[in-house]
Amino acid sequence: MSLMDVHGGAATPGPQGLAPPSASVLGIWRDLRWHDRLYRLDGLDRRTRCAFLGLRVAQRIAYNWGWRRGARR
Amino acid sequence: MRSSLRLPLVERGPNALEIVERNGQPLAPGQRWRWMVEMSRDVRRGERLDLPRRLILEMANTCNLDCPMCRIGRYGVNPDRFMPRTLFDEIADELFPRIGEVRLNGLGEATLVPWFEHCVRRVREAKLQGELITALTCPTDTIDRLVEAGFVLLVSWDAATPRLYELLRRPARFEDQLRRLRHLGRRAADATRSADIHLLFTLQRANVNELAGVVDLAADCSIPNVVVNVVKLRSEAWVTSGREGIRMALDAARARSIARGVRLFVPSHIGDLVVSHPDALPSSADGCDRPWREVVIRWNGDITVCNMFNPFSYGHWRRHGIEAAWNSPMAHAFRRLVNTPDRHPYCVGCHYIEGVYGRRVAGAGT
Repeated sequence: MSLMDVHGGAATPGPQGLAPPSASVLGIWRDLRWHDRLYRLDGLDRRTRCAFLGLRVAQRIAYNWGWRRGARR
Repeated sequence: MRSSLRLPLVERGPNALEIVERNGQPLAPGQRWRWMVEMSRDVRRGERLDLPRRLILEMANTCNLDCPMCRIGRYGVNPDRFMPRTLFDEIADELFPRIGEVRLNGLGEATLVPWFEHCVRRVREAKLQGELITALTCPTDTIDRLVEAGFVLLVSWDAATPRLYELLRRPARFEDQLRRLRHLGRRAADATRSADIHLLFTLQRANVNELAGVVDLAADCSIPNVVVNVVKLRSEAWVTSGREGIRMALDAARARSIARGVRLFVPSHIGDLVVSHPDALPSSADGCDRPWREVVIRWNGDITVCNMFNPFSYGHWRRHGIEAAWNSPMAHAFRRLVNTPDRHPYCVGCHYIEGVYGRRVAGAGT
């Protein structure tokens, strides 16, 4: 999570600013494009970029899943 | 198994996401989202800009004076905060053939750098217009080199009376400083370069009534220009409470400048006080072109926005390089927002008078 993601998820319950960013296909696609641009700016090679982007998707889905599961309790 | 991932943690300088986060920190929560959206936008091919003509290099982020309005020198001189010579030479090799003007100071006293004369020599060899803001605590030899190299010099000088000068520029001694200033005035006159020499007066609560005296002092030392800057504080309440005093001080200074033949450069506003002099000059608060016209490289390689040392970063010299940083999403976001109500908080009420330093607008000033 970064400042970039803090705005998202206002409709979800829980403390303000901690709600996970959207896990929709569009939300994830935008996030990946943005971070791919930053990784390119840092001069990372394609393999490293793909690995980091994969981790971002895993982290985002895991955060959403955990958040929703916790909220149901 | 050998990993072929190249982890960014081992690189020199912050990565792009760190820079985005750092840039976001000083923004108000309501404003931050707008900036984040702008920083995440694509930079289209047509939006890409050529490098600017003007470069500012922060040679030292430390000072031998501890002025109350700045405090960069509050812990004394720290040589670890000089720009490394290797970094300076890298920058000079790559950029000096591509620019026209270079300023050699940042938030600190550049002449403290032990190899400062090497920098002046490189500027001279590259046939660039050099520029320096200095407290003039340097040896007179350095002053001579700067005049010979044709530098535009702005000498920070905030008071006409020794007692106040020594309070504002502690621990400098007024008499020693005055001797150096006279030397500078004489050397510049001998070299017919007086027009390039300025006193830079930082207006603050304590020295409002000193401005007219500083104009006289400039005339006495053969310095033909006085530029008024305004102290940057979190609150500008001191302007609101002292409006009449500031107005009267400006009127007195203007009268002295006309009587003594000194050009006085005053911004069109001081805080929220509109300066109604016929020759008051528009400041960057009225519209700013600096993010298109200049770039700053800080002592540690951070690439930032403008000569007022807004901390917003475009990238890092060693991590991203100047071309990528100058056209980074962060740089383009700054340019899109600088002249909107969502401008960076550091830019609000900016007192920079465009065109006074370096390349002066014809006819500006009294």
